[in-house]
Formats: sequence, structure tokens, C-alpha cells
Amino acid sequence: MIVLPLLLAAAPAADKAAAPVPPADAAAVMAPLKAWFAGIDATDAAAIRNQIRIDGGGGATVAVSRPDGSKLIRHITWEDYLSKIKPGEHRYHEQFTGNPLIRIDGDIAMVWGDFTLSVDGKVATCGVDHFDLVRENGAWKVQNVSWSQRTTGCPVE
Amino acid sequence: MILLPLLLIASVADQKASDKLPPANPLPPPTSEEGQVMAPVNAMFDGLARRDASIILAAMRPDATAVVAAEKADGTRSVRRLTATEFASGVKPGPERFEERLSDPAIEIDGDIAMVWGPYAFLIDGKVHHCGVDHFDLVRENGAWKVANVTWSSRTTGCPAQ
Repeated sequence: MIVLPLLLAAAPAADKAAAPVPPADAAAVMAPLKAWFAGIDATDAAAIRNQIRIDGGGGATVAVSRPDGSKLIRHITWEDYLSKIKPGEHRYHEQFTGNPLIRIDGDIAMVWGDFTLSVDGKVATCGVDHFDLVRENGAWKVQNVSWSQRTTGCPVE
Repeated sequence: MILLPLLLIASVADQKASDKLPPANPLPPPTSEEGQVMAPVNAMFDGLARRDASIILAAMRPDATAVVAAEKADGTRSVRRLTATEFASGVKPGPERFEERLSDPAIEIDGDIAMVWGPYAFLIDGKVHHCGVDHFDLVRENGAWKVANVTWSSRTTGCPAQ
């Protein structure tokens, strides 16, 4: 409701998909993802759970490319995903390495951006995170996430 | 994307097979990466136009989902999630002509994941019924792109006339 008139004002008709997202709206969409990444850094599954539409029937899909060229697609439920987030001997840090692409229309949004995941201060994997978000009762939450994951060709830091 | 109102579903139950469009002439596989990503998206639209659930299901992963965020004219909002089977089961033969038009989609690809985002209009018998944005989440497995999820906004006000 708020976004549409702004988009229309910024760029008429066919160009809506490419219209720039107002910074305040982008920040609202990014807020749950920042909290998610902070939850990874803190190995705090509860913090991540709060960013998810936990009963929304979504989940996580990962497309792994291994150095030997083999590939794997895996879809897991949110509970499976969250069960892997627990304090241990390693320190994790996930971040977007550039400016992710953000699109919003009404109560749906998407974020697509390059990421690195570091373990104990060294980049272990990289790829693209793709978040599918839905706004309900004024709050953006993650419906689905998919990501590509590789261990070669990643930025060093 | 369409989420058929219950009345519409009920009204199409007894339609004849002769209402279907003629068989498709298979197109050559697209050569560009973007074209390959769009193939299952276009197949879903084709399945809607032909009101053939099997075409839609073939374009989606077995564990795929569909999510609609609808804004009604009175301002009320809802979010609903369906399995691929539930989604496709709403598409049955019937007299109305369905057409989904996606314009200027943004396409992003990285390895075996891709996304498509673009405004759409859904037409019934040539008239815009509702509109919004389609957001497709695609995954490539064994060389073939399939839809893992589609989320769309849906509204009936402020849509393009055609």
C-alpha cells in the first residue's frame, strides 16, 4: 500500500520491477536478515527463529557445488535448519559482501546478494543468498531461503 | 499467479475436454541461461492457459510451494501457502480463458539457483482480473531448472487495464 504509490511516482508502468526501493523500505526488509546473520554469529537459533514464518510451511534450499564438480540440492525444513545452529567450538560469521538486490511489492519482498560464511575468521564458503519475505501484521519475515554454496573462488575476507 | 476462488473452481467441474486449447507445438529448448531459467516459469503460465495441472506440476519440484499475499479491495490482507499439488489442483478445465502476463522480469542466476521477479497481470477472458508481482525461486538439478517456490502479491485495484 505504501510502496506502490512511491514506485508509481518514481517510474511509470512497465519499469516497476526495476524502480529503486526507498531506503526506509529497504531497511525494513533487511532488518530480519541482519538479525538472522547476527543469530548465526551468536549461534543463537532462537534469534533466527524470530525472523522466520516458522509455521508458514517454507524452508531452506541449498545448492552445493563441490571442488570435484559434483553438485547437491537439498531442501530442509526450518526445524532441521535451526537444529544445526548451536553453540560449539567454532566461531561463525555470515555477511553480504556487496549491496544485495532488494525488491518489494506490497507484502512480498525478495533479497538476492553475494555472501561469505567465515569459520574462525576464515572464509569457508560463499555464494548467493536468496530470501523470499512476506509481511504480516506489519512485520517482514522470511518465508523461504535458498542459497548457492561453494568453497572455491571465494573472496579471501 | 492465480488462486482460484472456490466458486470458480466449482463452476469448472463439468467442463468438456473440447474446451481445451489445441496441443502445443514444442518449442526448441532455449539456449541462453536466462531462457532456460524462464522455461519452467513460462511452462507454468502455459499450464494455466491450457488449464492443465500436469504441465504446472512438471515445472515445479515435488516439494515446491506457492505463497500468495493478497490485498482485497476493502484493504484486508491475507497470506496463504499451498503445496505444489494443492496449487495445481485449483487448475482444471473450464470455459474461461486464463492468461498470465509477466512484464520485464528481473532474472538473477548464480550456479544452480535463480530468481525471477516481475509485475504480472492475470486475465480472465481477456480482462484483467487481478495483478501484482510474481517472485519465482528456482533450482537446477540434473541440468533442469524447476520452480522451488513461487510467491506473489495479488490485488484487484490499481491494475493495468490490459
